[in-house]
Amino acid sequence: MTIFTFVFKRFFRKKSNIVFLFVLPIGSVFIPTAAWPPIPLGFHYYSLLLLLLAARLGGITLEDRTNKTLLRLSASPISHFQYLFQNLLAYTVILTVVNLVFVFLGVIVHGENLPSPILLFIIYTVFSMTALGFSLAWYSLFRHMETAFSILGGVIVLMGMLGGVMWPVEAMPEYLQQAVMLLPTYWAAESTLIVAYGTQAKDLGTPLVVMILFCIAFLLLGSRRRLT
Amino acid sequence: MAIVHMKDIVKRYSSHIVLDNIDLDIAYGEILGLLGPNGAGKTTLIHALAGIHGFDSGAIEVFGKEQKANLLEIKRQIGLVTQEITLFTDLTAKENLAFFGGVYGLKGEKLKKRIDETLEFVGLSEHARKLPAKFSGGMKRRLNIACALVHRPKFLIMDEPTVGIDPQSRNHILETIRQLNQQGTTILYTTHYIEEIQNLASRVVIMDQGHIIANGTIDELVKKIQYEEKIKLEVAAPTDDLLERLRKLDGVKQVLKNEKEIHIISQVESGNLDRVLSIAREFGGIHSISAEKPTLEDVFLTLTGKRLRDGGEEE
Amino acid sequence: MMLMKASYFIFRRMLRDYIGMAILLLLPIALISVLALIADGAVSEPLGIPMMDEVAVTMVFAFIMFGGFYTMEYVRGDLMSSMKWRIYSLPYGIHNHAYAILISCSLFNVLQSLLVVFYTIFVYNVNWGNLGIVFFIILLVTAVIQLVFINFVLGVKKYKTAERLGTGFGLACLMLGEVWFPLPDGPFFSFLSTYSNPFSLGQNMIFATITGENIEKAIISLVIFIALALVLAITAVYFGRRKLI
Repeated sequence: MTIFTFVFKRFFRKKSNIVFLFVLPIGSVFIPTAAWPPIPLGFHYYSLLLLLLAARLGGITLEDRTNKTLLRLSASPISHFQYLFQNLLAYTVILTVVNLVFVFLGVIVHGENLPSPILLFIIYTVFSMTALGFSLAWYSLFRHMETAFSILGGVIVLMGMLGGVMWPVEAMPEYLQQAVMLLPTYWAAESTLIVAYGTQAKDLGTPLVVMILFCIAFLLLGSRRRLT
Repeated sequence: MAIVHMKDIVKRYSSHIVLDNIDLDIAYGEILGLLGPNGAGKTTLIHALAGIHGFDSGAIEVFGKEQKANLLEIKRQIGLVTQEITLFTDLTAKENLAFFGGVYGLKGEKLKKRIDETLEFVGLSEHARKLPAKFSGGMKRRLNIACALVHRPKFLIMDEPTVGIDPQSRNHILETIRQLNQQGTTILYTTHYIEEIQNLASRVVIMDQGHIIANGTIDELVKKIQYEEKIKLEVAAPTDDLLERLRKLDGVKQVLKNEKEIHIISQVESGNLDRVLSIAREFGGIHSISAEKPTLEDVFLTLTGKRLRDGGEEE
Repeated sequence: MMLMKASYFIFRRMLRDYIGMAILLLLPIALISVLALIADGAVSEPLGIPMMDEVAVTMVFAFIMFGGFYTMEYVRGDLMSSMKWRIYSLPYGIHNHAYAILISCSLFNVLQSLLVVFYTIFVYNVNWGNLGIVFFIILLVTAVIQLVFINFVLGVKKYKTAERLGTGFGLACLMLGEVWFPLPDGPFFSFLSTYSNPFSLGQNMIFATITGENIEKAIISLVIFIALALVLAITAVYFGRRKLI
């Protein structure tokens, strides 16, 4: 588990990374509930934050590829699968802690107004994995960290808009409402809406399963590219 | 008994053949120097040997075991020093070693001991807690080597480990390599510096365009071309015309231009020295002329038609 | 003459920066197109102009707030990396090169913004009012933003810090400009959202040209802008002298 432990060492060496991890989630806890949806706004937007945080974390693998330390690793007795798996596991742990802090603060700040925090936590944790998969797949398309990260910002906002995070998908033309189901953000938004409207917990099944499937698809895509 | 046995290795990138039926044996305990011009396929060969990427056909045995079936086991006993400096810039020297040691399965007290020994060995003990960003070029190179030594490999592959450093650091590194070899490590070494090979290697393999074109001790290789001599000619104006005329002489094998100097490799006692002189005179002033016995560099030149450091791989 | 020539070549280099263009040209166009899907002929309440027009204005100015990254990148690349020794050795003052960067980045940004403006005019029939005035306003706002960013990059020690300041500045402008969520009521916050940042100031002026109302607001904004430009130019020169020579 060397790779797993060193992810923490490397990531937290830069104090700014800790700030980056927590400042946005903590800030968005305090955004009040707006006209839509019936849940404090930050908790609906959180999926976009997760995409952003996952992108920052996943950047480590791109760094390894660009500075060729991955080449060295591939000469060592560690399989590429092990490498990816240990990295992802570490990122998942980090994001889960962030999710926990986020939901916990939410309960303190919003109290009764925050519907079923446990379900929200489950949704966020599953979506964290989807987001990590997405960042891995995204980075496999690029050679430079900066480029990948700066374009990603725009892509995340667009996915948020189209996926029903910024406004209900029903506001968009009919044909788009079907198409945006192909975006992971749609399912994240869908599941927080289910919680917000207090529908039964078992309705969460479909979105959660779809998010996991997205995660697997992204991982397969992202792990195809190995070196150089 | 060979530590490495490569048979008929072929590697293609789309239609381009990078390794063309390579046969190569490396004996236990030797330092094998691998020479070749840019794009000869050295790095591809090394990567195939280290199990980083596969090959299209052929077979590799390392430590007497078939590579594909025993990949992880073999990798555990190989060290690779990469051509680029592949260190984690956000980890200290010590942590870098701890990471790579850990990846090779070392842990606890044993890992700690190995890290200290390795740092001592490459002379970086005093800098253990510094980030590589604070290191000089030579120190980075040494740490780059150290990361491949921490698990004490039986077989060490070094891909141009001395590129772009000062002579002092280079000497230190070469000394380190010699010591490792004395301790029983088998080493495969590629470089652009022919002096290094002459100093270190017990055997030399020369590659060009995906083929091995020569294989033997330095003496053997030099002997191969002992019937040749090198004429060095320095003229005022080395025109293409002049080169063309020289090339047409009987017994001339290679003519190469190096600024104002022309190097001619020609058969010994062919009387070409006189002829070269008279032709050169037609083209104006001669600054100097000399004839020498061949060196390893000339072997390389004769075989590949290229100068080792032409264009340099030091990109 | 040298200044023009240098600007010209920087401009050409910028034309090859596809990532910059993707972010500052294609992204706003994409966002506008998505937002158009839901704007759907609605009318924005307090201003009485179509929602689509407001979206267009907001997007154009929102992206101008980040245009200063161009200046920052080129100052770093040419004047703060090893390239600087080459530039220093040229027979023309280093400040000239800084001006050249400023000029070409501003123009490039104006050009990009105008392209987005034209896109909204032709595709969504957005009424921008007098295009001459729009051009002037965009030029002014862009120039001020470039100055802000050049202050960042020259004023702080580490480039990373400057980058963060830039991002923070852009986001703060959008937040104060009430792009994401309304600020609380009260005279203080209403002042903040109207005059505290280049984004709101630019919007004030554009909305005045579109509607013909709130002219005094626009004039105050213009005065603030000119004062801001002067102050920023002076501090930029000060920081530049400290850092570049």
